[in-house]
Amino acid sequence: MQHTRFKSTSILPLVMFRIAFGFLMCFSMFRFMYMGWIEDAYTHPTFHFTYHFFDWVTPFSTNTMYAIVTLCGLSALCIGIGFLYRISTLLFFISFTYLELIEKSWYLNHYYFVSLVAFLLLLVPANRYFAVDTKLFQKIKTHTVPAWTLLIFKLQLSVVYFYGGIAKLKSDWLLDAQPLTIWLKARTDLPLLGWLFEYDLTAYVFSWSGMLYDISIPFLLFYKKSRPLAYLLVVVFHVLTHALFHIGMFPWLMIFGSLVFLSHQEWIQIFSFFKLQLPEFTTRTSQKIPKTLLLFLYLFFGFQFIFPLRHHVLSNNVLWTEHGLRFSWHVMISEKNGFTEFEIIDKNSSKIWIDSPSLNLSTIQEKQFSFQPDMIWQYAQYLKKEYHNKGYPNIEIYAHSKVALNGRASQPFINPKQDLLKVTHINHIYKHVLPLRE
Amino acid sequence: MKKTITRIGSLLCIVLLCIHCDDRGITEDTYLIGYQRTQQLENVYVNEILPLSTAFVLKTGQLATAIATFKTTTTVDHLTIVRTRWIEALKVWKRLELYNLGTVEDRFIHYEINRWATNTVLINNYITGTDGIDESFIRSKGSSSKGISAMEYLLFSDEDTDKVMASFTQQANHTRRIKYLLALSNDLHTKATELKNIWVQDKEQFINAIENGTSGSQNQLTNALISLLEEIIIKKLGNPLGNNSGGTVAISELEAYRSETSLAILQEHLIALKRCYFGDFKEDSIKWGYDNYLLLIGNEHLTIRVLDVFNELDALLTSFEGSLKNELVSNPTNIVKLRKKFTDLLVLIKVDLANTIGATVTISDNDGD
Repeated sequence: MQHTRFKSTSILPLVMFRIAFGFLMCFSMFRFMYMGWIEDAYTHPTFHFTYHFFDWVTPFSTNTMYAIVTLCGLSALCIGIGFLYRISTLLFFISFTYLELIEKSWYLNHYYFVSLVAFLLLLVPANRYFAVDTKLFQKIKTHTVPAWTLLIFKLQLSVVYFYGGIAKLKSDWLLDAQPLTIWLKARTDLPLLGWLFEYDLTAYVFSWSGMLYDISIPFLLFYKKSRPLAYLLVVVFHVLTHALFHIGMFPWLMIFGSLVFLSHQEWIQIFSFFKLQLPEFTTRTSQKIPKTLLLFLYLFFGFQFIFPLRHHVLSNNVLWTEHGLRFSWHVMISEKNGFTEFEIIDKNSSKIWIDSPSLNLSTIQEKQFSFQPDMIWQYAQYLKKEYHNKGYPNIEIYAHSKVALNGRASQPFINPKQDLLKVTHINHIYKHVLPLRE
Repeated sequence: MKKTITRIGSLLCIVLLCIHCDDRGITEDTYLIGYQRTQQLENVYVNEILPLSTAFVLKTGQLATAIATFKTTTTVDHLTIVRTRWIEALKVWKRLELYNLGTVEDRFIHYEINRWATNTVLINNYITGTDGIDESFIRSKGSSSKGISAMEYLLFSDEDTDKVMASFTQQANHTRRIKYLLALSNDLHTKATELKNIWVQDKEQFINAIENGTSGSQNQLTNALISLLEEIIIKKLGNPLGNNSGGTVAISELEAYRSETSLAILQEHLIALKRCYFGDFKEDSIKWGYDNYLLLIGNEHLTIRVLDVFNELDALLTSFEGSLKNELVSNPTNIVKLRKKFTDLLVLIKVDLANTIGATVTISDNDGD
């Protein structure tokens, strides 16, 4: 096998990242269970919004789903302690990605990020220090790893931040300070800082600084001299977003994830602050990486760099049409609400039904689907099946929908004159999204 | 490095302190929006929820008394009085029904007071059965066989008043039927008192929950407006129009069709919704409502649109001659118009208002973005 040599570096940052990720995800999975979200997301809904090409991913019974989430949480714990690391990481990656793929209305950027990180962890020997595996298999213990094993996580995290910043380069965000104007004025109850949110200027300051933070923070974290300040900014920024927006695990994932940028020396200094001693690791000058793996990583990150930008080709206003919005790191960037009901006409008997989706969908499903065209199309397909089963094979389905984006007045969303059953492919529905009026 | 870590730690502590420290001592000057929210919640509590709860206790008490008299003096005149008292209680309830939120919602007491459609088969089984009928018997039964709708079934079981009278005086088990009616009224009065007590105990929690999350009272109030509007659109108008049956009009799907109070119910709902939105409960007080709140955050245009729809709905409901049942039979397109107009109002609240105030139209927390 052909190899390329890669500079070697201390394993410590990689190990610390593995520990933080593992324990955080373990907590996250058991929190998911505790919150009753297994039922809300997987087992209570009678209909699921599946991902394109992944229609075959469906939930099991409630007990089985609990078992899967438990397995996912325990495998995360095993990642944290470095026990049977490769198997645990594989199990975590498969189970977490499976859970993520069941229901599109529960899509979150950070769930996607977790799947990517879990996949990348499969490629690196993060269990060769501070791990149970080093007790079981003493030969694997090492102080050094090739630098690419750290670089891939830094790059992945940088992609999230940088594209999150690029996504904010929109007139709503920069010129109208939306949706932050709405969100901050809704949080004036926040102790000490709340009064600041009364002012329009605050939303502008937050919008612009948020954008600048997202775009610049990867570079500041990479650069040794600015790293302490950068990490301080990471902590302050995410603690603030946690307090303001109640967004669950995302802030903590980014705070702990950014630890991967810290160098061996910086970790030693942190440990010494707590009176803990760590040895100096001697690093060899370079280590090998198979060329096939290197090629794969080029392809992987090439995809990561290009895919989030696809919406520029697909849509002239991604916040409105949502075409290409998922998997493109549009994090906390819009306040959107919608209402959609369906008119079903039987062409044979001229009978007309009005379907109110709130009767069939969970609260989150209803909220999310009402402004996402592909999900509106999927629901129409679901209705088609339902009415076929009731003995109405020859029907038309029309959506009556209204959506409000970032404080604008609500306006018609999907063309109400378009029979959705004549839209034969999920991606064609975007052609029937009416233009946004300012 | 030690200095850096110390600085990071100190700053983090300050940030956490800012975020999690006690928020007592908020004043009008420092937190205008928060202050306005408190005023809105206090207004709706003091001038609407509490007076309505008190009135409902009074009206259900009067209803129980009228039924007790009817039991001893079973005449048409007394039946008329009972029916009048029932309609009075119903009208108060249909305003109060909007406020199914917070602790009240958690206790499911609204179902106990008014769940429709009532289960007439179950009611008749209880009447023809042999169990002793009193308030404790009613309390032990499910919500589908008691409350306001169950009473309506007994009081308006037939369009012909003589036949209703006969059900209380001549038919088999007529004594048990009156007993059942009386037990229902006593149970309803007890439930009304319980409801009021919950609200009295919940005052501080309701008014002070000014946060924006799912536990915030303004958020819950917005969701209550949405829930009622959806119930009107889907259940109270949609199902009778045949939206769920291919367009076949179904009179029996109307709420309270026996007493022909369906129209009055919608009018009361509309009054309650409008009063809640504008905070317009009492003549001589500051009317803190969503309109003031929107003005403060710079979106007064929405209020103009909301007011227009309220006025159109009011005009439409007033234009109906006779009952909603008659309108549904003779001119269903008017009911279609009415449903559409209520849908317009729903969109303004569920989409526009929620979008403007950042209300969470969900019952769940979320896990990130």
